[in-house]
Amino acid sequence: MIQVKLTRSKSGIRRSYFVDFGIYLFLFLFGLFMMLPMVYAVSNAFKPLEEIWFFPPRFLVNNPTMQNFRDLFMIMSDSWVPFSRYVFNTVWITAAGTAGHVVLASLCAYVLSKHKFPGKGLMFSMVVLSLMFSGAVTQIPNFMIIAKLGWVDTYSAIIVPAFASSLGLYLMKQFMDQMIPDAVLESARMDGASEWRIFWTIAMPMVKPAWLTLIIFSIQGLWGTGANHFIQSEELKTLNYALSQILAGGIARTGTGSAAAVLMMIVPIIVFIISQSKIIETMSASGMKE
Amino acid sequence: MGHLFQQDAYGYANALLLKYNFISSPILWFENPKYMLGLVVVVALWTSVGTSFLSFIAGLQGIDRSLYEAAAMDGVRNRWQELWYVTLPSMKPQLMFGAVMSITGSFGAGAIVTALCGMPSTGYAAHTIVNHLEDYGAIRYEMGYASAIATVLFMIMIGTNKLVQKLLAKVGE
Repeated sequence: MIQVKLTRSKSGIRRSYFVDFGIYLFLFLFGLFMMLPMVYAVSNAFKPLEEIWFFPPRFLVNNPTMQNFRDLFMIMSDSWVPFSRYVFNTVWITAAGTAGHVVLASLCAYVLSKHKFPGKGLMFSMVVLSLMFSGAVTQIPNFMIIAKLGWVDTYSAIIVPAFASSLGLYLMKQFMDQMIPDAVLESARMDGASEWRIFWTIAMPMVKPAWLTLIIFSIQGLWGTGANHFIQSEELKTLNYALSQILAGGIARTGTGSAAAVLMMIVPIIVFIISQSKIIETMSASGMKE
Repeated sequence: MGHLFQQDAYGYANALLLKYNFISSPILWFENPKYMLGLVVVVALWTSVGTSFLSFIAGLQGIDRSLYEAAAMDGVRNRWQELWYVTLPSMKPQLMFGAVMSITGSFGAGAIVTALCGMPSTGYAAHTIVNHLEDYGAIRYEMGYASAIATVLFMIMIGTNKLVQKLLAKVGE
């Protein structure tokens, strides 16, 4: 997924193959280490119950079975609220939250990065500083605001705050600083392009890797939305919440829980693969620089 | 995840160590103050690399390729110089983003300790600032003291942030 571009032939810089090999070996081992939990989760989902508690424990599955998934669907089919409702809730929260977040973050970041106005520095440092509050501190004020807005027990309580998450704004601002040369915007302005047009047809395509990355972050974060103190009605609860209830069933549900975890992992992974391939596409396609 | 360092002989680490006779009885990984903190660090690393990693990949795509050729012309000879004088300075904004994310992430670590070692951990050996905050805010309801902890934590983060900013300004010099 990560493309390594060797510039050996072009730049004429001396690179020893020995060090190359060492770096690749290190990266390979590191990647393997990072992958362990995922491999473990997937292989657990296919283990029959007696193999999950086998001694000595096995890392990989020996007799793969679909039993866990079958159990999962059986449990899900007689849930109080139809299971599809949980799926819809999560999909809706993820889609709406991500769309709003990416649009809002890009617009704000563009202005903060490429325009001059009084109080700009102050505003930006407020955004960065807001990243440093620990979540526990803002819980009570957050709840009060949502309650005053009358959003308790609605989708908006999760979706709208996600729009304004400062992480995306900060990410987009940093990328726009790096990737968009002022000269390009200048010349577009000379040619009479409107500010919106500059933003939409020039700035956004140039920072495509940034907003693709942001989409991954946002989907990953929102997809995992679990129990939430703003949501009380069962009809509004999310997939993650529904699946985590299965694990509450105790040791006998270990396998089913792993199957649920794998199902939860699939969507973010697909999003990640698609957007990563898109990022690499842009890299080979874009040649426009100063 | 929990299985790897599970406390009984069914955990992977214990099973391995038992099998090759390094130990004679299973180690209580998350109850023994000797191992707790180290293991929490490993698990935190495991879960934390993603964010800055992704932004670094995207940042690397934004580097102008011709800079490398220009650098080679200007006498950059090996890959360390290339890294230090071209790659890192070109992606300073992403480095800053990664740094801020790591700072907020690691100072804010608390849930992971609760998940692995319980709340509070044995002998408070893996107690973090955020655990302390939760202890006084959500269990003992001493809101004034909890707010003070949060404020101090906030100050520490700002300080670290400023420090990293200073350090990053030196990259490529």
